[in-house]
Amino acid sequence: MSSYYAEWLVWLAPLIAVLFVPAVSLLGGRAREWFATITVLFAAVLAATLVPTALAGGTQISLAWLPVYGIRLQVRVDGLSVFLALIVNLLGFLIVLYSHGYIGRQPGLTRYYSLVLLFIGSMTGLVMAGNFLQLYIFWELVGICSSFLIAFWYDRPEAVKAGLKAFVVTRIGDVGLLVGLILLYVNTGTLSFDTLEALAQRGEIASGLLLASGFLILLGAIGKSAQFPLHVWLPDAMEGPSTVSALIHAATMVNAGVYLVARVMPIFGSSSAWLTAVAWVGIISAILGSTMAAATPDVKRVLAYSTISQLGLMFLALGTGTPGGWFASQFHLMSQGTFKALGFLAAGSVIHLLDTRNMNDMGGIGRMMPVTFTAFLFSILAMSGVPPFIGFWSKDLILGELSRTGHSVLLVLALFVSVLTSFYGFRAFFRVFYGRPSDLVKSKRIHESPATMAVPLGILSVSVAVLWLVESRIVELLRISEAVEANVWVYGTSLMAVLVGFVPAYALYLRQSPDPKEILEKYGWISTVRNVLLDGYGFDRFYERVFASTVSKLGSWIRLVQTGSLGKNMWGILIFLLIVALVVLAI
Amino acid sequence: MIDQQILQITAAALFFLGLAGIAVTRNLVKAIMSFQIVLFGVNLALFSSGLGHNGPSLFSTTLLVLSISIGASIEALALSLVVLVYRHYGTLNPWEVRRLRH
Repeated sequence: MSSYYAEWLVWLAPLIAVLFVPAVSLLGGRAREWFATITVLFAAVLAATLVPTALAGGTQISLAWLPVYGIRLQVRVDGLSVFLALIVNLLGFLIVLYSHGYIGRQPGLTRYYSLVLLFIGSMTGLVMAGNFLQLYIFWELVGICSSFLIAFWYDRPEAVKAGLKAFVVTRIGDVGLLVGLILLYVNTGTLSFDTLEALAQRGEIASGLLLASGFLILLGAIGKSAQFPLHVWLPDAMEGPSTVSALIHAATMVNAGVYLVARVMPIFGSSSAWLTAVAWVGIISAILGSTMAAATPDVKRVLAYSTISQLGLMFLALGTGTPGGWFASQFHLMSQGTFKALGFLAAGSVIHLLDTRNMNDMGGIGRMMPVTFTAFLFSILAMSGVPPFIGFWSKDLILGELSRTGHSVLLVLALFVSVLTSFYGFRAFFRVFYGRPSDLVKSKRIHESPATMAVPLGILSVSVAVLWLVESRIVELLRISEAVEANVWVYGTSLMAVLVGFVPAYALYLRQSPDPKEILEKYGWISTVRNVLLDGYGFDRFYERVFASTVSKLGSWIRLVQTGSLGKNMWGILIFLLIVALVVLAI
Repeated sequence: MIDQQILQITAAALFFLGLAGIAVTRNLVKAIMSFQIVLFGVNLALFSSGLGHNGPSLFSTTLLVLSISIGASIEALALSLVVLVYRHYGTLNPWEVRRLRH
């Protein structure tokens, strides 16, 4: 076991460190910050030492765990898991470093750093898991950490509500995942990825079972990755600190869904119905996300809706079912993680300074914050897909794969998303940094952020500009044999799409001719569309009316059974369990 | 395999006996003792499912130790709650302590 220390410590180190955070914090706030930062950096270094193993074909550690049930403890080290572990820990490191300056001195920081470490450790554990049971355990840990961190400022009612919403909405997906796993386990007797892959490739899993569990597991991924129709939790998650948003959107949480779909692709990828579902969930989410991002006045919500839309593109790429699409989705995951972390951290700098998220109260601060300005600009350039930034290469891989496999409808829709991406990206950029300074901006002394905040911004800015150089190395790491390339037509069309989105954003929000307000007054239908978008297509109200009210009605019935007396309740539980035991024994 | 079945049946018996104890008792301290019996049952089930052909596996034993220590801390917490309940209500009879709000 001694030779395997990196495989274990890469995810165990942050988890063990969580236990020591309270003790370390007795030494002072500075010690606590650096302890957390260095732990994540250590995990990132360990993840990097695993790269040669993964390049050589990977390995799997397997220990006896529950022999009666045929379940083993498996740590999987292959291209995909090491790639994800690197993304999680490197981005996690930069975000934790940024936290020093951003979150400053306030109560509850022991809780903050413990949860962040637990979050990063669980996410790494999730991607290193060799079977569904382990994955599920870490899956839930990631979910609980994110909801606690969203509700970090628990004295704000909106934050608590958002945390609860994230928890409840992702839970719907998690139940799907759990039922899917149980179905698989009961029928095949194993939860290990490699055994299931082998069974599926030999065609030894009944197709009905494969389809049912495939869709249920997809539901779990949809919940985690905030895809349609379970995307409603992500925009509200903006109530947390910006660093938490960056963690959720770039390094951890939402990537888990994309990872899961990529991981189970060898198991369920043979079913075309499943692949079609993945692709359409992706494109619908991409369209919903990018249209809503174009309307909202909240700078963090722009980024949140953008995440929904970018993750949608990853699902779309996975839905092609080809190795090229699979690679494109993972490459886009890295690209999205980098530029979205950069976007959130840059937006965080602005919010930290102005104490508002509303873009109507911003404007004209570009010159006074050069580092933040450059960082946000780079993030937007990468997000829109302007060469040579990383988003250009990863998005074009997806578009190229769609055109190569002949998904013409999906391709056109993806190009539409691309136009919108460029529009809402530049809209946010111009509104925050250009234009007339608002009264709020005039009343504050605008200055650049401290070094611990500027350094991660600098590193990420350089990354989004140069990371495309490592594409061929990632192809090697993920062991893609098929040639991955996008052709010149795709590059041309996608650049056109960026331009088509950029021009109206430039005219409306930088030149202000025509003035956006006049347009809204002149054309009634545009303001109707805008209201629908601001309302988030009414998903929230629909869920509130249909599901939330049903649950509270059920609750008032169940209240009749809940007597508040320990003895009576216990009798109820006992009788229920005995009935269940009898039923199980009878079967 | 017979040994394992005996262990599992014992575990289930402990579990239900513990629950029954909580259900009938008129004293919260005894309820906690019954809860401990429930935990014994759970831990025994955990132990027996970790048994392989050649004894318990290392990892399941580790988890078992973890489970026992978590159980102990839950009991400590419960005991401290019992002290609070006694100060607040002046009784330890769970049938009398039934208001969910103070």
